[in-house]
Amino acid sequence: MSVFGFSTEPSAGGDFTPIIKYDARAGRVFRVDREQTTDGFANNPVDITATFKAVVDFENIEVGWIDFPVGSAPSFALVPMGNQLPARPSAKHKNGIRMLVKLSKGCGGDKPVREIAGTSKAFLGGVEQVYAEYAREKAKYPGQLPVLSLVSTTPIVSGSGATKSTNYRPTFRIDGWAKRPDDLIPNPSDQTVTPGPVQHANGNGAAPSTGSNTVPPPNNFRPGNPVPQGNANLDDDFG
Amino acid sequence: MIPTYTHHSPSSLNQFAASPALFVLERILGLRQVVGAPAHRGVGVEAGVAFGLTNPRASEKRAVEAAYTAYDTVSALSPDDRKEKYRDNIPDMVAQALDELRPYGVPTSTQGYISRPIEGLQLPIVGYYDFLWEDKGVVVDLKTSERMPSEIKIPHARQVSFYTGDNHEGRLTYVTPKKCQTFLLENTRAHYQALLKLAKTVENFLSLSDDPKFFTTIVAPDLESFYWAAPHMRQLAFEHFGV
Repeated sequence: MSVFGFSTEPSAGGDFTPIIKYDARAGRVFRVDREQTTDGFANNPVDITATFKAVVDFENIEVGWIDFPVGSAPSFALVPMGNQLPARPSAKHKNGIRMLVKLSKGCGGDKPVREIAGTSKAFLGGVEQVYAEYAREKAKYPGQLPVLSLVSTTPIVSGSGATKSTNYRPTFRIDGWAKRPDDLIPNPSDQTVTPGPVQHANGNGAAPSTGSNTVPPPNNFRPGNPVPQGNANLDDDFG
Repeated sequence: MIPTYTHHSPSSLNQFAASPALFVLERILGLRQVVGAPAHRGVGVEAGVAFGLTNPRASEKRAVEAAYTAYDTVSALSPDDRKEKYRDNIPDMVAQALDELRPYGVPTSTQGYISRPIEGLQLPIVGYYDFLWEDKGVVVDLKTSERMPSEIKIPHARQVSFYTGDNHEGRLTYVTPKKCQTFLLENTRAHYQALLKLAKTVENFLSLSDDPKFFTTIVAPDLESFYWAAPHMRQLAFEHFGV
């Protein structure tokens, strides 16, 4: 730390966690490799749809709001899952998630630990489905993370006419469970919002009846027991 | 019998009655489906009300915060378009339900687990009640809804009849964004018997085969039903039932 209160060390490069992307419009998963060209660094998307397999850090999944503006860095307002969502930063921000994965040798390239983030409903729906399975099963595998593969993608058509569009919902499968890899280190970025209170807009053979009589709160005695004297019907007593 | 189906619950039995094909998909094939914003709102409101009841001096605001936290957690990955709309209902629903139930006092327990072996059934029935006031002999289940029903819904009657046994009175508190009412469960034993009948029916059904896929050949989904309306459910119907 410098006297200015911030680091004056040159950026070491490679500080950013490399990413994978799920393209919901194509139903494909891409590993985005950064490659140096004569014009500087460029993104090289590698299609790993058929080979996708990864240990997924569901324990530290972040949820909230994400904006992916074209041509500039994404904007995140996320909290660890289990907290209230932060305030929506702008109308352009959509519900989204971010998590770390470690790709298998078959699809990981030379940097297998990757970040994936997304806001498409198709993507979220697929992740939600497999997360629910993870949540049901995780107690059987203490200290372990699920190993997911991509089984298929299902076209989801929405809208009609000129607004009709097709997105592909991924179907993930838990292939197994694995100890957390040493290099899969949860590292919420400083774009993760500290959880806290937020302000949001704001006998006779007939079928038995179920009950349509509304009732007030009970008195302090059990049904069927004698009613304590003086508790009720005072008018009757003195009528 | 199917090895993964190890117990009955009021929800599994009600599901069998409502849509045998969905029961096959979720409980026999193991393809449990996620729920939408309305169910998530129910979880959130219940968490807020439970907080408010067990902390009688806590402000309504804190109860709503607890509800928001629960809602945001369970709905975090949901792609449901209605998420924001349903979230907006939470403060009013929590406030109304607390106005309705705080006069009952602090509940003896919340989210209580009940497992009951039943003579004549191979599997036990298990479930969780929402709120128990042991001193008053009252069990209350809280239901969130868009519209206030005029009477207790039949699946809810079966469910609460299981919680009450012969020793407690069952009540259903329904809360909508605008209204909250508590209904007294009538004919508890009759609804409990109906639940047991359903359990026996499910066991007869399951006894037909040990092969999960067999069951996709003896039931079919109603694709006009809302259970199968979502595109991915339509796809599952096609993949597993061939319709």
